[in-house]
Amino acid sequence: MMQHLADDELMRKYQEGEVLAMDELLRRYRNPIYHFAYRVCLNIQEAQDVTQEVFLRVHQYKDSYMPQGKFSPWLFSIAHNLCVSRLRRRKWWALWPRMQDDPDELVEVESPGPSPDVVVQDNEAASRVKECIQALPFLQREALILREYQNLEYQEIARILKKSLNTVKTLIHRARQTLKAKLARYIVEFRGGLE
Amino acid sequence: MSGCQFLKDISSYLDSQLSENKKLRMEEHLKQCKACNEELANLRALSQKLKSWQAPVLDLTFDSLVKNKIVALELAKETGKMKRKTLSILIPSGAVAGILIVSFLSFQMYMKNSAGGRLKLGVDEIGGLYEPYYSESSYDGKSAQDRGNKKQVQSVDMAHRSQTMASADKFLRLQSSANNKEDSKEKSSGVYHNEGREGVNFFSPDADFEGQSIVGRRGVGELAKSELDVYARKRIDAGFQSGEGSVIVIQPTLPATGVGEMIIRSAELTLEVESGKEVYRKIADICREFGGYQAESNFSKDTAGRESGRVTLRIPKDKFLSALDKLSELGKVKANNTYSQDVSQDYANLKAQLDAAMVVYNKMLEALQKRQTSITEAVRLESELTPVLRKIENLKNQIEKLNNLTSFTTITVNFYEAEVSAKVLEETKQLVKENMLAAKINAVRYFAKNLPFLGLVVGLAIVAFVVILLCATLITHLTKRG
Repeated sequence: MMQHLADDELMRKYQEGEVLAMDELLRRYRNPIYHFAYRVCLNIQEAQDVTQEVFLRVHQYKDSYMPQGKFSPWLFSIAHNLCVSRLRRRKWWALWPRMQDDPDELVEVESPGPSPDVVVQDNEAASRVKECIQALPFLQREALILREYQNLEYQEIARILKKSLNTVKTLIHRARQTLKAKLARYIVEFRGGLE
Repeated sequence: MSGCQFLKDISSYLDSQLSENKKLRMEEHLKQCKACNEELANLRALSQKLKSWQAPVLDLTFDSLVKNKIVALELAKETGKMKRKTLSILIPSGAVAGILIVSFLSFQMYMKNSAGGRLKLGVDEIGGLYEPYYSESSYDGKSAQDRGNKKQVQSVDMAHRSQTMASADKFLRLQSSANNKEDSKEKSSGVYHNEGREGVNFFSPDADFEGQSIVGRRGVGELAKSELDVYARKRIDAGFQSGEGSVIVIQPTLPATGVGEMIIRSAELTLEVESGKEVYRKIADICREFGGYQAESNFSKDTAGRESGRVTLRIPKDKFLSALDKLSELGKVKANNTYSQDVSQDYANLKAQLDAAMVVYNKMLEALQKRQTSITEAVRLESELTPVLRKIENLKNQIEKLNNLTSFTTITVNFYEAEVSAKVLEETKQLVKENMLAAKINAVRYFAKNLPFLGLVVGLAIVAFVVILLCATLITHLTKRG
């Protein structure tokens, strides 16, 4: 029954004490938020923590939410804030090399997936894409991720990042130009394949 | 390609983020611009390629984890509320309970003090430690007046017990002054009769008899302390059990002054003081405060610089104990001797003699006035009258002297500075302070002298720290890349 309701309607119901509304919100947004957090933090554990924290904050601040059709930007802005604070913390910890760890690498190895023989080419391209995105400046990376992977409008991205529309346009444009240069080989291959 | 002005909007066009107007213009432009078409195709390909980076999928248990956390959060919130509520009840109730307990305990202490507490303290503090002896013995079963005069009670404390004595003595005097009025009333029932009880007498309507019987059985000065203890406790128990709250008075060794009593009282106080000069000044102040006068004073300083003195004060009899109290506070009491001499009988005798002499004198004067005598007879009578008159004058003087001696008490205060006086201590402290100050100044001088070196060391340390940090960051960065 809840599946047909809009986000704002679900939030309203949750504000009124309907516990099932949270189930639906979780079903809708757990993966988008998790993927966003993962691509920004580049760490599975941190991404899980951020996603969990996002929904806990939704619960905590449910009464302060004003339903105006902006639920997903609100959710992503919470995730953005949490990621920023985590990365800031990580930046300081990174000053101490011994304490720094990169469990992401291990997870990548341990994570279940199709046979390497089958998808070796795709994996190579994917890891190259990941590297290139990782090398982008933080805001460009976030703007690009929100656009490319979450399909958010520029306006919504601007609200999440607390930047102007033109800035967001520029950020995305620059990110694409950088990536286009770095991934030129793959782009040509891809286009050749299509033709 | 780089020259086309539409290139920067291709990205927005790809994302359908252009306004309708711009979108139409872009579409028109794309029909004729090869570079822009190329860019659009590249960006589309890039967008497709980016999709190849798939993020991992969340655990299935994630939902339940979040829900559990939410429940825990709610529970914590509820617990917090409960805690606040509980505290809001507990704190005021605790405060009320505390006040009630304190009030109850205070009431109990008050009851104890008013009934038997003081007696216990008196026996422990005085009976055990304050053991005066008497130069003149004994209880002979007569009242003070009947016994005659010059009954002297002297209480001397040992030097090593001086402090205990001071507090005990103070306690006794306080008791005595508090019960001064009662003393005068109870005099006839044996206030002065019971001095034989090692300085501790018990007076109460029903206690007196038993107390006296103990004394009678064991004799003066023989009453064992343990027996006194037992007796005292018995009295306390009796008091509590009967619920009468019977008054138990601890009588000091010093006889109280009764109204109409002719008692010469004196005391000698030896004090160890910190500053002789200061104490000398304070004694004079106390004397003035109690309306007395200094009969004699002496102040000296020995070769070691220790000050000492002796001051004899005459204090009105009703302020004797208070003055003694105040004087005891001036230093450490080393000895406290009190004397009393009952001269009531002397006074009565003198009065009687005076009355008799007056009668003789009046009769002789009457005879002289009535009789018609010759000059020689008159001279003879006159010469007979002269010794009578002299005797009357003498008696009057003696009575006046007694009045003076009894209306004013004598307190002699001997004081001396302790061997290590506070003055010396103060000087030592001052010396230490000066040395400390000198050490501080030296430290500051040393620091100032070596400041450039210290600055260099600190600067080098900071630079080294920064370099290490930079190297660490660089190594991390390179390791990551490598």
